[in-house]
Amino acid sequence: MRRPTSSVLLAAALVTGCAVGDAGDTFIGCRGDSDCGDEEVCFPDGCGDPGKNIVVEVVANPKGGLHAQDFRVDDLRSQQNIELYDSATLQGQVRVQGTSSSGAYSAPITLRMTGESLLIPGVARHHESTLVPENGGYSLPVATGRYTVTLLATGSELPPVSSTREVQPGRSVMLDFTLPVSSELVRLSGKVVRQDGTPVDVDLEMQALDDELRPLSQRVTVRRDTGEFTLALPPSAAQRNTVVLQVVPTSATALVPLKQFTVSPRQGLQQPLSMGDYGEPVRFKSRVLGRDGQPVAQATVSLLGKVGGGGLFRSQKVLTDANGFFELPTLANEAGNVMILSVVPPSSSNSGLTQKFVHVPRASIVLSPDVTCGGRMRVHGTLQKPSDSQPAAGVRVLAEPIDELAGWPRPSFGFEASRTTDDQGHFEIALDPGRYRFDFIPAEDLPRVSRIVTVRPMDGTPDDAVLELSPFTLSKGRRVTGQVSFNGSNPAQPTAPYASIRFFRVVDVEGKRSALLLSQTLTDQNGGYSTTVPTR
Amino acid sequence: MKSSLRRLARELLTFPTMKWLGLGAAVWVSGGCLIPQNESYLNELPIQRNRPPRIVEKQVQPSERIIRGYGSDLCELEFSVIVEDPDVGNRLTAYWFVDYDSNQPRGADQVVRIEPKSGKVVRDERASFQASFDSADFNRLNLPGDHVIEVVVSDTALVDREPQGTLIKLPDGTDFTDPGYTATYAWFVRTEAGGGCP
Repeated sequence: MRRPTSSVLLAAALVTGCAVGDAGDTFIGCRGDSDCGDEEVCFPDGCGDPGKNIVVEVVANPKGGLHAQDFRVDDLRSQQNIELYDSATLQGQVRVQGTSSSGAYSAPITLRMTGESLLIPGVARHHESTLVPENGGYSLPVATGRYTVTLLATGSELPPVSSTREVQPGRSVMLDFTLPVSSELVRLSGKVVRQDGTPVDVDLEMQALDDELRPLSQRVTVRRDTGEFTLALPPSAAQRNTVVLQVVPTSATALVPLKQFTVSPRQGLQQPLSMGDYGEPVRFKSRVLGRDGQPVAQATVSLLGKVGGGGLFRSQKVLTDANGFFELPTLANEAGNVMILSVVPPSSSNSGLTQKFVHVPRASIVLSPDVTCGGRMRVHGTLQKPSDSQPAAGVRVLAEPIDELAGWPRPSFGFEASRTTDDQGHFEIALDPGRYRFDFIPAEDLPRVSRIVTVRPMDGTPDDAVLELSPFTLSKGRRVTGQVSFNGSNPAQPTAPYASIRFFRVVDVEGKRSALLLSQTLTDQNGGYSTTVPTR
Repeated sequence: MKSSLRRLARELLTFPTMKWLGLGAAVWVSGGCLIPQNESYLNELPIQRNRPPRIVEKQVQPSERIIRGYGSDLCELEFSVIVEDPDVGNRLTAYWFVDYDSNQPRGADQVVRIEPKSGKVVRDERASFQASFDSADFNRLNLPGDHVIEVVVSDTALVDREPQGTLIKLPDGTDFTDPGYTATYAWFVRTEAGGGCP
């Protein structure tokens, strides 16, 4: 739940920003710790108690099977010992449906787990292991989290089987898989062809999906010379009214669209699957210029859109030359439709991410008008030390995109200022329009501090494209030390040397559960650690 | 005279403390014979030689060396390493390469600075490389097929991935070249154009 004080301060800060007429300053929430109460620190979500809402992630030894464990810390003390559980595991049996004897499956399988921490929003967790079940049994050490687990029978036509599980620290979670008998699989054979009935003659893969585009079969190769393929569906999938068959080219340079067909598995494929009339290859040529009319070199250019026949085409990505010119092999857009042209200038450029709707007609060569990029905003700021308001030099400044602005694409990568803050505490970073989390990482023994900054599209000339932020004071830090140990079941390994520790503040920011990294460190060879977190 | 000294010695040695004192004196005198008397002095304290950085291998992320399903089941990947350097003041740099070909040298796909902080051997900040399959910017990792992604952590500048030595003037006027060091780690990624990432 959102803290009332945070809301009040957020509103006050926004009002203050308007009142002083400083349109450039787009920090939200409080501007510094001095805006907060005696015991509070200014976080991106507003003022808050620096010892509350803390979650710690400890990764003891992933290569040794001791993956991430997350713990809530009610009140972060100066001496904060952490006791770990033994490895959490996912275990179970892999059986074959309906067979005699034990039904244990003992051929190689791949288990792929994708998910997220249970306590730290946005922290992704992933595991993958290829193994041979022993008498059908498997056991896999995993991090705590909420997972989608997919079993892929390696080198087999057996369809993938998926399930979801939550794994708590130190717990063993059971997950059994039942695979269909190979003889009971329903084969769906067909042919992929061009509109004229000839094979497509590029490398394609075919997969059956359910209505929510979850896999029902393995991906199989379409024979290049004939267009033939055979999918193996589990009996349950074969009873569905419809399944989606998705054809994908396996090469980024193939001039063939991705296409989905909705078919009835009960009736089988009576007719070849036609990719439709997607036309002949087109060479789309143009030039990329900055707002100053100068060519933009080394910009990444690509096209995306619907093409004739109902498929979706994603072109390969090409780079502009020294004069800003590019030539992009593509397909023509669907009649009455347009394609999206994406231009991503290099991070060192003053030109910014640009997307435009373009018409790609059916012609062997299309000479399109020049593409003029929007500019990146140069964001200036000054950082001060918390103790004496002196300039804070040597601070790294990173900007991580967290949201897009209306009418603008989401910035595709994070930025880092090319230099740390100078002796006057100044920094400069050029950004595309969007909402960013700025992370300030001091060289001194001060905690990292974050703020949210909105960079709006520039008006006027490129010379005006400067966003001046108000001077910002870093937070004071306090040491948190402690020992990371195991909770006693393994006396041979009482402590956790070289364990990764990350402290997060987990709160609601504008109604969305969010995690903010406060500090990170590594334990020493005796399992001890020391780190700096914000304080008043 | 001789017998009176012998008597005095015998009387003194009856005291336990004097026994130990006598023994210590004997050791000290005999030690004086054994310890070499010629002495040599160092003109200057020797310069501390540069030492290599280390990637904390048990903490590399992802912990699996081989990653499959990028582009189908996995739409985003983050690679990161934690680094330590006994020379706590060294500025380290992590150079990230995707499919580096030594026959066609090129610059790194991403460069991350790892600044010294608080005199700690372990650098708290991770050096990371992120890839998003949906991203509009160019990333070699997004091309379907097999890829090698490498991180090279160095305490000196790299030219074609080779560390460049630094010339140091010694107090006696001679030159010494600090060769610079690197530490590397690699993953293998299979990118699949499975259409699973919008």
